[in-house]
Amino acid sequence: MIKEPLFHFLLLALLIFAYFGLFPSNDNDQAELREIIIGQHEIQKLRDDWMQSWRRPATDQQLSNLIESAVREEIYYREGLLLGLDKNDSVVRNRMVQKMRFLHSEEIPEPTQADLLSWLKQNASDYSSEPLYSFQQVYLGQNYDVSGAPVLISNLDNGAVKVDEVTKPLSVANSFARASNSLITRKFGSTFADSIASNSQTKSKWIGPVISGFGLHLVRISEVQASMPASLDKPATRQRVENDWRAAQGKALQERIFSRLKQNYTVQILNAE
Amino acid sequence: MIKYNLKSAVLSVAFFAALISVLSLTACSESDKQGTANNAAGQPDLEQQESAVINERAYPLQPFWGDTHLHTSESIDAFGFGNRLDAESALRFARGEEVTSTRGMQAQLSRPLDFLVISDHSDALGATKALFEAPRLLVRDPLLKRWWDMMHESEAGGLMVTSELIDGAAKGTLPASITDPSSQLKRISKLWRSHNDTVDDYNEPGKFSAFIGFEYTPMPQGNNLHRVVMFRDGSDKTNTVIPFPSFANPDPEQLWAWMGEYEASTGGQILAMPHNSNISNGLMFAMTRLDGSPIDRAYAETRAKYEPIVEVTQIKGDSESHPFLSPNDEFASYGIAGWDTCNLSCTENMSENSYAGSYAREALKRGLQIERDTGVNPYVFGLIGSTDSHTSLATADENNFYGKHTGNEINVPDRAILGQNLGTRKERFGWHYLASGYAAAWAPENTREAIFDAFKRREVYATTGPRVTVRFFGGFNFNQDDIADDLVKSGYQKGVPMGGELDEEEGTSPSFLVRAIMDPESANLDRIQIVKGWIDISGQTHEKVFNVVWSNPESRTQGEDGGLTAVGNTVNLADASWQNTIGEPQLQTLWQDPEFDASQNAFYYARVLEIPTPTWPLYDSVKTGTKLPAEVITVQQERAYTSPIWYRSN
Repeated sequence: MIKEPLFHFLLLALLIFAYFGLFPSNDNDQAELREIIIGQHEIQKLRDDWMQSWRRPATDQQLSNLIESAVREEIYYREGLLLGLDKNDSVVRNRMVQKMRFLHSEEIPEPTQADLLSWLKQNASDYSSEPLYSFQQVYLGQNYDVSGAPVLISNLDNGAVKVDEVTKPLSVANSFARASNSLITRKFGSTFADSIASNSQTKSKWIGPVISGFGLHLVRISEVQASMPASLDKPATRQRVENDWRAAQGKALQERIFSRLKQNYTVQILNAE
Repeated sequence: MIKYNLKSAVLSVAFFAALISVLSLTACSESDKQGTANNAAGQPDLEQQESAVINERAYPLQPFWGDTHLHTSESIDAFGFGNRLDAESALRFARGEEVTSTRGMQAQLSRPLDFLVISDHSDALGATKALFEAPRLLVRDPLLKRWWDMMHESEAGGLMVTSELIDGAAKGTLPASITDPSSQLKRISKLWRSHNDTVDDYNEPGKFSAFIGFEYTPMPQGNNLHRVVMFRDGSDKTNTVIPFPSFANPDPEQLWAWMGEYEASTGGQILAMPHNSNISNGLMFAMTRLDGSPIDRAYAETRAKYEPIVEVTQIKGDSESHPFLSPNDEFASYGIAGWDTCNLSCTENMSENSYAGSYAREALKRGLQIERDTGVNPYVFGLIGSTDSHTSLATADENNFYGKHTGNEINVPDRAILGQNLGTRKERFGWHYLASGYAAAWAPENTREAIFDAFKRREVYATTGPRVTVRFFGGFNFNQDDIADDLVKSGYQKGVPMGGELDEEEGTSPSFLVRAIMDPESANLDRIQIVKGWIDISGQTHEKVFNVVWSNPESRTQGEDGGLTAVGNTVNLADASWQNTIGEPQLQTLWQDPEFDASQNAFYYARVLEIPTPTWPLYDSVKTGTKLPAEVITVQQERAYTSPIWYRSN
């Protein structure tokens, strides 16, 4: 009989019942649960919080309100737990799920230099400097007869006419040195900026007409400076890399931790069939 | 069994506490390493060298474009409206990146903005989100519990909660748990600090300026007295305060006192920008203080110091002028429809008598009167536009407009013709809301400091969305050559830019250099007007709008009254297109006031009009087939308003 598993089980059960029967209320535990201590440390923290938010010390009345509400909160909270209000409540479940996620997002360490370098390397094109274009433009207006363009182009190319002589009035420079795509877009609109980028191989020759928001232009690209890889030495780049790295880590970490947690579970999904 | 539960609860608490302390230890050691890495990198800073060069430029070369008024999911109403995008999404979007809107659209600006002020409501910051996420059983207040249920029940419920919130704020009937800041102190200060850190992280001097700010939102009886508050500073200073709540401090004078305390205790700088004076029922620019007592010199000085800018155009209508106040101004009615009948929450109707205190042009005139009485002009403000968008998406383009709030984002069918009200009273429709506007700042570089300083000296202007470049200078020594040569250089060397002041010079009449260049991604320009306001010897104020330069002058003539034939209209209602066959890409002139009287104080500002283009409801209707009723405005002339230049007689 001593070897009978059922006997072991019943004996164990008996012991458990005996334990709880003999000590129906554990005074120590209970006292601890019913005791709320607001000590010097807590009071100081309430004072500091107030001070930092309002930039003046809390009056005695305000402090006593703060303490009163801290006590109230604690009692409600503990009584809520005693009543099991946290069980089977979908909002509590959701909140705990959120908290678990938050807990893990706190776990993202500060990036090391190596982390940032490797992120920068993997996403180099997001951070590299824009290509820079040096070019001249002649503004032809909105009603230019495009059939005249080839002659005008050859005259400009052979120096028979100068930019100043043929450009129509518009308070946008005729000559740009090392202008980025964003600057060109800002000045002429994106259609024109795209044309410059797509014609960057045709150097030192007048081309066009090229369309912008203002109308028609002729353009002569003199130099293109290719885009340069970014370096973490530039604080702004470093900060951007760090922002993006952190956002990506948050997502990746959540997935990693979740799959680790999931390993502890066997999940069975029983299909209807 | 209860006991067993308790023990396990205690155990899990202990477990989490242990986990947290382990985690924070890890964090500490990592951040130490980070510090070392930074120091080791100590190489010359290219960026700083570049900006040093920019600093030496004598004057601003280009306007920087931004939105100073944007709400994220932390705003009490924005969350209720359904917005689930945080500050990080808002910053990425403004910077030009693609972001998924709350309603699942891939949203992107056609061109990035240069700066952004995130201005969530200080009152009950994060409260709706906190309520939404709270366990229902612990929501004790019956009204909050009802709101909780409505929000969880449906999206429409969430919208209704927001309407009731706005009503409650207007009537002063919100529960103490929302209006009493001390009960929310912990949540708000935690949120505020982490928000400020995020904004700091996204501030990229030279490229994108991310500003810390908030909106102060008093609305007695629904009369809008809202201000956006903008800091020049980073989190090192702004973290020492929490955003100033209006429920407990409804008088803007309390805000200015708080701003003064902030500047004194931190050495930082801060300014406030009133907006939607159009729905203030005459209170925003009243001739008295809020308590009804007369405006004195101290009030005027304080207001002028802390409120150098007014946000004059935005989603909830345009506050520049009203046809009732400016019967001779044929363009005064832009952005009026739906906004001049009742106040913000529509809890009070607004009579024509109230308009004088509700529109910026009249306020500029009133400022001259108060200056005469007290010696100081309280309404000496510059003008900007901003969106006041509650979607975290700073959109002001008609063909890419994400709406006032998440319930009205770009993919909501029929949003232009559905009712869209801010309180519970039904009065307004989707099409009343404007895809407006942006702020342009003439700053020498794109940094928080340079842009804030441009706001402070009022060298800024408003547009209803298009990025029209506008230069405006006043001086006593300009001549025709200054236009042909370098207008900008002459403007700065021989005069003052927009926002500036001219003191009488021996009775000489001032003249004004003005130039506008079209937005290369928008439409041609119709005309430039100069709006003059002045005060006569008897203390009466007057205004006049001058057409100073216009497109197609060969075919458009000016009548004896100064009026001008209309530029025409190329909008095709069938496909929401237009042609740049009318108007011109650039207009400029030198203008001298033909009615100048050296003894009369005056102000002058430029208004630049585009040719007619489609409104967002027309784009929507072409895209979705929604049939628009006849009263819906489908064609408009978008515009820019510069800050004024003031003339003072001796």
